[in-house]
Amino acid sequence: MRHADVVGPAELLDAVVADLAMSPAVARVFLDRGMACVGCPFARFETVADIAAVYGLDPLELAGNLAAAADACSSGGMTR
Amino acid sequence: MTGPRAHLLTGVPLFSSLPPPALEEVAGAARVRRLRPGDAFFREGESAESFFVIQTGSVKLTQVTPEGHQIVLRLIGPGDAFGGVAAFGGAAYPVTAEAVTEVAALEWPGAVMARLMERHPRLALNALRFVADRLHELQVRYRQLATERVERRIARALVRLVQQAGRRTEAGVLIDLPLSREDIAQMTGTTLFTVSRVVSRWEADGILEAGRQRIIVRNPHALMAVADELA
Repeated sequence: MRHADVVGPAELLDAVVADLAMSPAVARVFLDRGMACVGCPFARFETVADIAAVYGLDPLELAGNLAAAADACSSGGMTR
Repeated sequence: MTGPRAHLLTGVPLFSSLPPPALEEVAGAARVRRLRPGDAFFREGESAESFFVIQTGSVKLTQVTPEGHQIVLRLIGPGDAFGGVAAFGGAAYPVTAEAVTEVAALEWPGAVMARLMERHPRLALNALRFVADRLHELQVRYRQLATERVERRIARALVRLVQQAGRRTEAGVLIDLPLSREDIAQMTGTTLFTVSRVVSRWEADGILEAGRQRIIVRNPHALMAVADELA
């Protein structure tokens, strides 16, 4: 993960989806929500804020879920 | 004056315009089939043996989609016909017909239907008309599917180009290559006319912006929905 150990949701709004999806734990968040982002050719051009708008989601809520998954991932010391 | 059985048949399209004596003969040629709730008259794919008209109760017609979902096509009741494909000489039932309540239905085996049609040309003409209508429906649907297939191919070509040469800009994702509609036609095995038509439609829908040699994808999700048939 290229982000700091503890990442707040607001900081993730501008994070690129393809980068986030490289972490399996974080990719899981997209999959669980039935979003097509994992492996999407456009994922490297879109931010969390962009994706939230596409799927009609609350951007901070989505970012919060992603941050929580990223926390769980980095506190376990596992990165890709 | 027709008996109750024949009266029930007056609303069935296959039997329309049959004179009363003919209708009586048709009614008399049927036997009654009774089913309990949950029993099937026939299942999708089975050999088409009989044509039915419901006297009492209700029947659901279901089908399994290519994706594997079982969907209910219709719920039918007294006076409704089903299993028509058997009357028209078809090979297999396209749907499953299951009794929802207790059902009593008039049943004509295919051979009986055929004999009735030889005796009453009107019956055969009605069957022909029914089949012609269905054929027309299928032709329209086939054309629709072929068109969707072409659009999918064009969308996929654009997505591949984005993967190779995509660049994020203010207006959207730019395909950073000089690219004409003719190029896209060649890549997709279609014509300039078709590509122009599709691209113009997508422009009007706000999916992309297409200059002379330049394409910007404004709505990636919409393009992916076409390319991958996203639900």
